[in-house]
Amino acid sequence: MRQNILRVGTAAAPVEVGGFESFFEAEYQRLCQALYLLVGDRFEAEEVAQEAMTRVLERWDRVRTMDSPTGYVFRTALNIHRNRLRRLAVRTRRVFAEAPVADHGPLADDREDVRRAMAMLPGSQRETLVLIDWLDLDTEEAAQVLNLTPNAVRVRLHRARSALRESLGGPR
Amino acid sequence: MSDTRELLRRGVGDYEPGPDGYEGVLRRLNRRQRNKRVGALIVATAIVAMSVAALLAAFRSGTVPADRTSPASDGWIVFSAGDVPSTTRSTPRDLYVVREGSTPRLVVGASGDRIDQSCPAISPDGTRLAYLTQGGGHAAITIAPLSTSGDVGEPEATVDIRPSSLNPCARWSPDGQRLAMIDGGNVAIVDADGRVSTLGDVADISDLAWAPDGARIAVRHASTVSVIDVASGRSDTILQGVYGADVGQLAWSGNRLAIGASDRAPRVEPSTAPASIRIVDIGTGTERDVDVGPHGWVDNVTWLPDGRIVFTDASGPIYVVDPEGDIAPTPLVDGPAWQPVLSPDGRSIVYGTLGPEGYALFAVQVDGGAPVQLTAWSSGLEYADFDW
Repeated sequence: MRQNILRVGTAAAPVEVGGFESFFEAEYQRLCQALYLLVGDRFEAEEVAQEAMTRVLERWDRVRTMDSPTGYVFRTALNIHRNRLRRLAVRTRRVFAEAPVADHGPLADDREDVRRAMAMLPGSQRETLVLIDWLDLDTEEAAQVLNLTPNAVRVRLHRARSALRESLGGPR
Repeated sequence: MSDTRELLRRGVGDYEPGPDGYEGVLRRLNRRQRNKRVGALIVATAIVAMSVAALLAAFRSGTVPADRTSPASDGWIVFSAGDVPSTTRSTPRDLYVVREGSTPRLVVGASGDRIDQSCPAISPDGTRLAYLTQGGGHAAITIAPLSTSGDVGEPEATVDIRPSSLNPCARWSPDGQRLAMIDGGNVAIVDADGRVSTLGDVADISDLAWAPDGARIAVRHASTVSVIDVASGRSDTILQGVYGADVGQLAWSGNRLAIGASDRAPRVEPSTAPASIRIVDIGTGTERDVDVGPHGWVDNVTWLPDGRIVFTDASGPIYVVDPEGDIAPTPLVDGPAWQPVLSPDGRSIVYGTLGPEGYALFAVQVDGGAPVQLTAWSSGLEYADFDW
């Protein structure tokens, strides 16, 4: 249950939040799950997701009018994550390598297999795969988020899907 | 394509983010705006004032003045800090100790590791330290001995928990035998030997505070404040319609519970909305409001030994108010400052503040005087939390 908290902005700098709450409700879980697929750590995923949502809220007047606020928030989250990795000088694979198996139960093995397979993908392929196959962005939207041409996105997507299937023992 | 979608679904499994993400976003936004608004100018002014004070002190004889302005030096302050600039709260932090006149010293963690240590909580007798460890999908509370020299020994107990992202810190019971914390939205009681039990059935808890007798715990859940009997787990609703964005809204003094209460406002409100500290006598059920003015909200409520109350507000200064008097709250520290923590002797507080070069910890006597800087300015202290 959500707390009845809130004041957003200040008298001097109010933030117009009309519609943001609905946007948050619709996108936050999906965003966290997408980041979880990318970074392999739920705490990190939620921290980055909250930071990205905060930045979106700060610019909500502008973001709400965009064609794809979802694309914007994911691009913001990607930038936060990339900057963070750069600062820490830690490669994405190391994040996965250090993440212990934290969960138990019937879903855990499946999840860990996929997470390891995802960790083996180059970061650019992993991002492309998550944008299109998890967040349901189309190629053009993903291209905008990743600052690539649609053709480059298609190539990365094809390679990512093939590599993921192969590492999980399926057909290429 | 569909098979890779299914693979990703398997990769996510049953993972769902915690329920307090929206509050986390709003808290970040409020904090950022508060810092932007009042940060550099006020702290620059404070730095000038401190420089002047230091110059004046240099002309003195070198003896400690009778009306000393430095904080009490008993007890160590333990704080968490990251060693790299941080965008997110999950940047790994380590634990340090410091006290007036000393240089901060690393006591838990290692520079460059990926384990986040935070939420230090010193036991009432000062002999043990509890702290939160997070990394690789795990979160745990660790209890370790704390020596008089400020060294932290080998862990005595480590307990896996699911902390609240807004309020993840554990609190020692007054007798130092147990810890209470929010675990998966419920109150978890952790014995000193590491045994964990869930207290009562109150869910969605966002804040908690031990009563001085150690027999009760006040909790806020949604907009309700309840008191849970530790022995039976039975809860009584004390107050409803309590709002606020930060932790530390609850503070006990004897049988009285002080509650930082925002106006019953809609979700969006300016930081100048009326706020108050509601004081409820749990024994008699009587309650009254101490109107503290247009502060937006009240948090970090702390009773002083003399019956006054320290609190922070939406703008960041630390105020002192006498709940028995008619005098308006007076700023003890101009903002932005956060998380005032009382010293063991009740004479000083340690707090975090923002300056042009980053964040730092200061201490100040509760009766006023010049703040004393305890750490260098650092971006690694943005998400510092601390105990004394």
